[in-house]
Amino acid sequence: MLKSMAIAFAAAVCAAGAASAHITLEQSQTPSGKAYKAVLRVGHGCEGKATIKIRVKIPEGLLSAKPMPKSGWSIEKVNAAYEKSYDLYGKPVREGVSEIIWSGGTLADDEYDEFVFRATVAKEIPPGTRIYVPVVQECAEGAVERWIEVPAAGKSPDDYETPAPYFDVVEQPRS
Amino acid sequence: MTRRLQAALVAAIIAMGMLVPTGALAHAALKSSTPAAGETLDRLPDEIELHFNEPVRLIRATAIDRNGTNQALDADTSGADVRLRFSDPNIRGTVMVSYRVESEDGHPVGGTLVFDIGTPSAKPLVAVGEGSGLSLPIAIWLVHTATVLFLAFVVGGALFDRWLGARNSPTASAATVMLPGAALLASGLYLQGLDEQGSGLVFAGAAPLEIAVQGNAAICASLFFLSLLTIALPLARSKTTGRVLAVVALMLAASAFTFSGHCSAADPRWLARAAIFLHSATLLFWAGSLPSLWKLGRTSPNLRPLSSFSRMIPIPFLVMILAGIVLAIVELPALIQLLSSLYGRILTVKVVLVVCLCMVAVYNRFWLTAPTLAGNPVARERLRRSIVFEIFLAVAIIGTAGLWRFAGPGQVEAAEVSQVLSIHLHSEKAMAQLELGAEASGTRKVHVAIMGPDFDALDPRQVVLRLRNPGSAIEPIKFELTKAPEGGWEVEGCPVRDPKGWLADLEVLVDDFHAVHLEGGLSD
Repeated sequence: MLKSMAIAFAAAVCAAGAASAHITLEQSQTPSGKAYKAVLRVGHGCEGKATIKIRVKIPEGLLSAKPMPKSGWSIEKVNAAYEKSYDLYGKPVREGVSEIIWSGGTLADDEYDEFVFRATVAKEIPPGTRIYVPVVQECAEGAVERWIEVPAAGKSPDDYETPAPYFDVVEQPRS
Repeated sequence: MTRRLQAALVAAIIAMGMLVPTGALAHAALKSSTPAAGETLDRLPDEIELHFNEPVRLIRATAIDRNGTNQALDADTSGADVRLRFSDPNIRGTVMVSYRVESEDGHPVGGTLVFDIGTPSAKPLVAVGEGSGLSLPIAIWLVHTATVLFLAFVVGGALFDRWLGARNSPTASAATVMLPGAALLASGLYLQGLDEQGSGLVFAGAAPLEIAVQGNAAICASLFFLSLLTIALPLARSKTTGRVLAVVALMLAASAFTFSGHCSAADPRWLARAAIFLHSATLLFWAGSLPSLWKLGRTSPNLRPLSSFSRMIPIPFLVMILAGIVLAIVELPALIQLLSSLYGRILTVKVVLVVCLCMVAVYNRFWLTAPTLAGNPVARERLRRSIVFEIFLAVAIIGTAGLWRFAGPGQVEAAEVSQVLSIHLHSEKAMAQLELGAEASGTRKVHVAIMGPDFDALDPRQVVLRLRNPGSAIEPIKFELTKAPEGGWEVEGCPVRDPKGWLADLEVLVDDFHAVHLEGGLSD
């Protein structure tokens, strides 16, 4: 029993991870009002060149974002005002980290790595919202890949060459 | 745990694994190619290589050369590399290699690689359907010319016979009108369908007819058919109803012409349509009268119809020529470019033929008709010979006009008649004015001006233009635009000649994290 479940699990994981050519988020959904651990999976460089910088735009509605330090990479945080005020544990917040930049490291085209930050999904974001996290991947020799495409109405991320990674805000599970 | 429950659990876990990460799977992207896009080579390489970032499966690969001929390419795929070979290695000029691959996530992705062999094509690429050659246009032209002549002789002829002709002139039987008429109209529709399908002159089952009946060609053919039917009705044999029905038939046939051709789409539309109606009605009447007049001179001593015809013909003839002039002016944006476009050249030939015809008509009217009516046999014989010449000229004029089908100013010649193609694209966040100007090499230079939604200045970081032509199986060709010294963004060497069917997707990078897509058709 355990063995067959393990095989099934492995098969499922392989199916998921086989072709991660885009930058994607590991967790595809999270409840509204809770902290979200964003794991950005970087599967390749820019047209064969090594990645040297990852810039992440923290979208509206993700509050108090905190990057996880990463050995070999330095972190820079950009603060900006939010478009509106959000209620965070009873206190209004109007500004916070709007961009996280990892730089100084090198990630070869044929290597894989993950960049992690954590942020709270504002209570005001209703379940059913899809949140896009635009990422700019900068590589050696000035090459850039921008994973920033947010689908227009009636289109899906599959219609774009460089879609932004995204996750869905869902209903709080009843415990 | 029972075996069944165990199996269900295993299946559920696999299903979850398959479902959850759909967003994580990716499209294949072209990393590089040999030759590279835009490269100029001395000769066609043995193989075209495409390198993708992940293993792909090739769905289709075609090459389009400067003549617009589409050839399928042989392909070898190994992992992320695709090698393509040409079956015809004697390609010169600009070549577009269009590919469509399926990436590991099962999504098809396409693109087009443009490069030059030798020098870039002086005669630029025309996007046409697969397998097109000259045989289909020739067939279309022949059937079209035959249809118009048949209509003129049946409908115009009936009008002449019933209004001006001898009372006992024989009426054509229903079968001799309807059978060839229906055959011509049906084959015309079939050829139109083949043309729209882009499949060349082949038998393709009922599909071309199904395509053709959705367009204006079907309205046109139905009106022609009704017009023929009106003539063939048994009712039409009686004198008075026959006369009325002949007029109705002429009006039906003339209104059919307003649904076809480029003129009907020219502006101002009401003027163009009214002119087409008058031009074709008078043309049908006049051309249709000629065989009857000729027959008259051969047998009947009763020349009364000739005298009536000669009295009244100046009016329709004038209407025909005036309406023709109106159409020419409406259609041709600048008369100076008369000879530089195919449309203009056809018009010139037609005008020369019409001038010849006018001279013959004037000669008949003022020198031959009176002596013929007075009973001079020499003049009568001359008149008959000159009517034969008129019929020959009428056939030539209708045949020449039929060539416009392939040279409308709205079609291929747009590039020559109006040098710059201007398209406005907009979305909620930005707007763009795209201008495609002609270059000496035959390709186009694209200039893009980008503005904010309220005409305010917008200084984008990057502009990428993707052009595709789904109808001609041309996958997106990607152009990275550069900043123009005089402002705006530009790129040269865009292989679009005929804007028909091309779709543009302008990607404007507003700032580091925001891109806007502006989409639209080039021929809208």
